Parts: sequence; C-alpha cells; structure tokens
Amino acid sequence: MSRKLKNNLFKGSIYTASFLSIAMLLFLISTLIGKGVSAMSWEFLTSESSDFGSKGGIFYQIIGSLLLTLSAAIISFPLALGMAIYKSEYIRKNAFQNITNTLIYSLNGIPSIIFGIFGLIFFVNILNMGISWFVGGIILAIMILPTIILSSYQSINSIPVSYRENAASLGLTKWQVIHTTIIPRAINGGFTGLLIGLARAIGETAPIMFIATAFSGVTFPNSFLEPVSSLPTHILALAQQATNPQALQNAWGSSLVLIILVFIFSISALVRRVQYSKIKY
Amino acid sequence: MLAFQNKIGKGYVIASTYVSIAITLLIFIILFWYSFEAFKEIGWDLFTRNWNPATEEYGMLSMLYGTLMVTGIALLIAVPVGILTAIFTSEIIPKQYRLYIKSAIELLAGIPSIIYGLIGIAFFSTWISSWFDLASGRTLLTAGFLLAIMILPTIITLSDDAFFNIPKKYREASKGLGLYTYEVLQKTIWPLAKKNIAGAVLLALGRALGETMAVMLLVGSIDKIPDPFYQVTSPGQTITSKLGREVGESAFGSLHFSALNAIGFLLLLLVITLTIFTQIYFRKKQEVL
Amino acid sequence: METENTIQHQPLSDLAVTNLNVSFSEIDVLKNISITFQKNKVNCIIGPSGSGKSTLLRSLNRINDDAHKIKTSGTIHFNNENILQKNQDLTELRKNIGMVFQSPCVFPKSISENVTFGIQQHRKLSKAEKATIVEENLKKVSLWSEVHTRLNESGNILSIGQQQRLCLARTLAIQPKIILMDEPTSSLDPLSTRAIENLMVALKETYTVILVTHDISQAKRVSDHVFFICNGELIEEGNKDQFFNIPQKAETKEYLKNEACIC
Repeated sequence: MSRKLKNNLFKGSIYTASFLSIAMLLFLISTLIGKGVSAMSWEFLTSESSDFGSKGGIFYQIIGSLLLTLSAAIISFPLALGMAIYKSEYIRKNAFQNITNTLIYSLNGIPSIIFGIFGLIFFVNILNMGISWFVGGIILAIMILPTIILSSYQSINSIPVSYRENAASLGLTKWQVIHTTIIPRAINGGFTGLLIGLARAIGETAPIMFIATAFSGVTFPNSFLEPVSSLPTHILALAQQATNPQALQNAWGSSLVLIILVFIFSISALVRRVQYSKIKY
Repeated sequence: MLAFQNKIGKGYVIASTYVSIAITLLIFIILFWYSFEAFKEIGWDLFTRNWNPATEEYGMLSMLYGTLMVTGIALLIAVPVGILTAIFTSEIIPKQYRLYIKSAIELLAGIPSIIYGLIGIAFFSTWISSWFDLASGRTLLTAGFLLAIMILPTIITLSDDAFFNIPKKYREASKGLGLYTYEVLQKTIWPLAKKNIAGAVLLALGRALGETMAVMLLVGSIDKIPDPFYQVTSPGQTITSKLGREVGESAFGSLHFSALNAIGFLLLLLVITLTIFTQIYFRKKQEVL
Repeated sequence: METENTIQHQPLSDLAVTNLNVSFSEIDVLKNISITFQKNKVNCIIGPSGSGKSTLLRSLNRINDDAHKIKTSGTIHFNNENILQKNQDLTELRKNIGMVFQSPCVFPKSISENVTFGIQQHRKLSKAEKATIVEENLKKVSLWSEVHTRLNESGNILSIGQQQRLCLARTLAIQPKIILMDEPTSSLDPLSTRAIENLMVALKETYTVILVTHDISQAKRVSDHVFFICNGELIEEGNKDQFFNIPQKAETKEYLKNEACIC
C-alpha cells in the first residue's frame, strides 16, 4: 500500500470516528432536550407522582434528590477537608503518604453498587437504621469523599512555602498557621471538589436504591430514618415500564430535570476552576 | 488557650483521616465477612454455570463471562473511536474551538448512567433487535455498545490531553523530514503519548467494570453464556447487573445473599487491583520522566 | 585581640551561638560556628552564595526545623536558654526573634490586616489597639505617609519596596527583641534598598539587627559588626572599620577584593 494511500485511509478514519463521536453527542443532546421538554410543565415539576410514576409529576423526587445531596455535602465536606489538611500538614513520612493515596484512590474506584451493598449491610441492617434518606446521604458522602479530598489537597499544595514560613516566623502556632493561611484555600478548593462530587452523586442510582429510597407513596420525610424518592430511582422505575408511553414520557421529563441539576453543579465547578486558574500569587 | 486550640485542630484533622481510612477498610471487611459463608459452603462451585437460588446453585461463570464480554465490546468500540477522535480534537481542530468541544464532551461524561440506560431502552435496543432480527434487543452487544458510549468521553478527553501535551517541535521536525501526517503520528507522536493513553484506557476500563444501571437494563439478565459463546446478540448477565437486580430481592443473611456478596467482593477485588495497578503505573511513569 | 572583644561583647549580647553544626541530607552546611551577636547593633553576616549564611540565620529562629533531612547540633543561647533544645516553645521564641525574608510575602489581606496579622494571633486586640499598632509600626518603617489613606486596600497594590517595608512593619508589630533579615533588599530597586538600609540603622536603637547579605557595599554602609562566613565556616569577624580596612585572613582579603571564595 502506498504511503499516500495509507495516509488517506488514516485521515478518513479520523474523520469517520470524529463524525461518529460528534453525531452521538448531538443525538444525545437533542434527544434528551427534545423529549424532555415535551414532558415538561409546571404541574409536572410541582405535583406528586402516582401510579408508580406513570402519572403525575416529580415534585417529591426533586425534593428527595436535593435532600440526599445536601446531606451528602454536609457530611463529606468537613471530613474531606480534615483529611486533606492532615495529609499536607502533618504527614511527613513518604510511606504513610503512599498508603493514604492508595486508600483514597481505592475508595474512588469502588463501583457504586458495592457502596449500595455496603450501606445495606452496615447501616440498614447492622446499625438497624432501616431504609432512610440519612443513610443515603452518608453513603453518597463516602462516595464523593475522594473527589473533595483531592481537590482540597491540590489547592493547599498551591500555597507557596513562603506563606507558611512568614506566618510561622511571626510566632504563630501550627494550628494558627493552618487556620489563617491554609484553611481558606483548602475550603475554596474543597468546595469546587464538592460541586464535582455532587454532580455525580445526584445522578447515582445504585448506591441509594436499596437503602434510601422507596418507589411509591413517599412525600417529605418526617424524621432522619425514613425513605425518600429520588430522580434517578424514579427514572429506573419508569424505564422498566417503557412500554407505557406516558411512563416513558415522564422518564424523559425526569431525565431532563436531573441533567439540568447535574449541569448546574458541574458548570459551577468548571467556572470556579477557570476563575481559580487565573489567580496569580 | 492557644495550646487548646492547637489540640482541637489537630484532633479534628486526625479524626477525619482515621474515619476516612476506617470507612474504606470497613467496606472491604464487611463485604468479605458477608461473603464468607458462600465461600465456605459453595467454594469452587461458585465458578460453575448455573445460578439458581431455588436449588441453591450459585455458579457465577455466566456473570463473569458477561462482565468480560460487555467490557471487551465497550473497549473494542470506544478505544479506537476515542483515540481517533482525540487526534482530531488535538491535532486538527483550530485551537479556539478545541476548548468548546472538549467541554461539551466532558459534560457528556457527567450524564448519569440511568439516563444512558433509558436511552438504550428507548432507542438502541429496538435498533439492535431490528438490525439483527432478534426477539429482544436486550443483549450483551447492546449493553456493550451503551457502555462504549459512556466511556467514550473519558477516553477522548484524556487521550486529547496526551496528544496535546506533546511539544510542537516533534511534529515540526518530522514534517520537515517529509513525513505524511499518518507517519508523523505513528512514528513520532504515538510512542510519546502511548503511556498516557494506556492510562486513560485503564481508567475507562475501571469505570466500565463497575457500571451498573445501564448494563442492568440492557443486558437481558439471563444467567447464561450464549451458545456459541461469541454470539453477543444474545442476552446475558454481568456481575453488576446481577447485583442490581437481586440484592434487593434476596433475604438478608441467607446463603443467596452471601453468594451475591461473594461475586460483589470478587468484583471489588478486580476493580481495586486495577485501580492500584493504574496508580503504580502512573507513579512509575513520573519517576522515569 | 579576641580576648578584648569577648570581654567587651558579653554584657551587650543576648544571642550567642556555640559550636553550631548543621547538615542537610548528610551534607555539612555549617561547621562548628561560634558567634556572639552584639546587642543594639547591626550585625552583618556576609559571604558568597551557598556559604551557609542563610542557614545560620534561619537556625536562629528555628524556621529551618521542617527542612528535609536536617541535622543540627550545638547550642544557641538566647536569654540564657538554649533554644535548640527539643522542648523549646517555638512560638515564644519567634515572638522575640522576628524575621524578614528575601522576597516580600504580603498576605492576601488589607494593609492594616497585614500589619496586625502576627500580633493579633498572640493576644486579643480591640479595634483601637489595632489602629494604634498599625499607625505606630507603619510610621516606624516610614510607610505611614504613603499608605494611611488606603489602609483597607489589599497589600498587593503596593510596590515591591513598599511591600518589603510592610513585611518589616508586620514583624515589628510583634515586638521582638531581635530582627533577622535574610537578604531583604536583593529583590528591590536601589531607591527602596536605600530606604530599607536607613531603617536598619534607625532600628538598632531599639532592636538587635542581624543581617545576611551578599552585597559587600551594603555591609559597608549599614553594619556595625561583621561576620564573614565562607564554605560553612566562620573565617573572620570584627567591627566595621577593623574588618573592612584591615582584614586579617587571606580568604577575607580575597573576598573583599574580588568577591571570590578561596576557602
């Protein structure tokens, strides 16, 4: 085969592949928006669902999802921050750094269904908390912990050594140095990581489907230990009734709402990252 | 006062770290603990073909096969398409558009898996069933295909970064020697980008192995290895799909539950080994640089 | 000669280094240094780069402690206590020995917040006290007239020379007895350099100044007592006139003449 022919074939395959990728991208966007919008209405967003979701709206599903993500945020943020600070300020030995890194990356790689099983065994059964939204929040928090830790840690690392030295040489104790120079940055970076983590958490089905959610008859929980409904589990239930066109339409509507929420989180994170990269020290 | 603050601060960070470490270890321990009964009672019979809780047969071979097959299909499709698209975005597109297209692709990566499952049900399973003239569109192929779409953004973004980060001088030198684009890429760029792209593929592989929702809805959930084994247009089963479907149904503490934990634990080991391997692989690479 | 010096200096010093050895990762950086710094004077440590002068300075307030694989031996006496001992309270030490670094490091806060940054961590200050401290210390560094109308603006708006003076004000605010200065003017323009040099001379009335510099002419301008460190060893010391006019050692002569090190 001549060189020129090879080259042309190669170019051809590049364009084909890219065309396929972009076509897929456009297909997904247009379908989700197109089908989703046709299901959208004010009633849809504000009314209760009925008949396993094929009728009615998704109000309580939205509430449930927000409740789960909010609790995940509150639980995970301080933990992640603490670990990031510990990792950068207190650990000196390389061996320990490697161990913590491995643990963080391992936690990050665990499949979401395993989190679900873990939650089922440990919280729902062993600790006897039953199927509750609070447990859902805990599990989601565990899931996004690595993302926040890494983001916060990166932020701390970008603090110049001179900051710490200058603060220390003014007679500040270790915790005072951390408190004044490091924590603000750690929180900043951690918050971006939190947004990224929440973008993922709000769309997850497997971790919460046996431990936090119920499919019908759920409104606003009255205590910590009650189930809620959520958008992803709702979509799951509807997808399994796909032969029912009304159910299918509601599935599209729910999907669009879910994607909008995901994008709010991920775009906020993106904006923060862009802004952050413009700051000079 | 200051010493006290110091102590609280230190206590807080230490506690956070140990809680995080404890949780990670706890997940492993609990899963192993609850699968212990299955390992003890069933032992090597776990690796047989038949899964039938009613007759207390718990052979996971069809799930193992399904996981590997579905993942294999996904990689087979996504890796070449992804890398070629990455060449497009990093080498061919003018710089100002690259960022927009990359952002669009990254947003795709954020779409929750259940939605991919919905799309698979609504479109791809019907397309595949009519294209291959099948009774049902829920097959290993369908699941693999959706999985490919799901991991495509990751491969594209990371490969694009790998290509983009190679300094211009290499390309210019090669072109100056009269090489065609294809040759420049094959002989100069590829050797340099190889490692990073391998890393990207490993990452995508890890995600594919652990993916539950889309696969669960599309793979057919039939605990059988197709006959002949390469007929991917038949329904099958993966580990994640099995877990998704049956954990909620099985009685807590029963042998059934334990068997499910066992396959979950094996999946966990597989994925974690992969993750740690990837991490070491990347660390070694840094040292070499 | 040495005996006279020792007798003269002892009552007038509160900081003395004895047999100090410092190594990083097994490489000796300071070898057996013994120095008695003079109170209320500008003590100037000079020498070529890499000679260990900064390491010496940074040992005095133990800011070196976190450095990678560092080993320190010997004693440093401050107020009759060996500050190199393990249970030395570092925050107390640094309240008495302040440091100005080579590159000004202004915190991302307002000018007045920068000045009070250190002192307000030591004790509770009322608004009035803070204002007084800000004014007092900015005046000490001759910065007050330039910035008093923009105290709430970020410290980053200042020129680099002003920033260094701000860092000095911040250090003075914690009321140390000794001020360490690690090549404080090397990143500044000549005008700002002169301003800081004038400050050094003015400050010695109240504080003991220990200055590290690689600029021999600066040492000639501001020092009272000079210590020449080369290759980790103390080669020669003496008061200004003695040192610059009649240096004793060959190495000193070589350094003063050609800025070269033959150690």
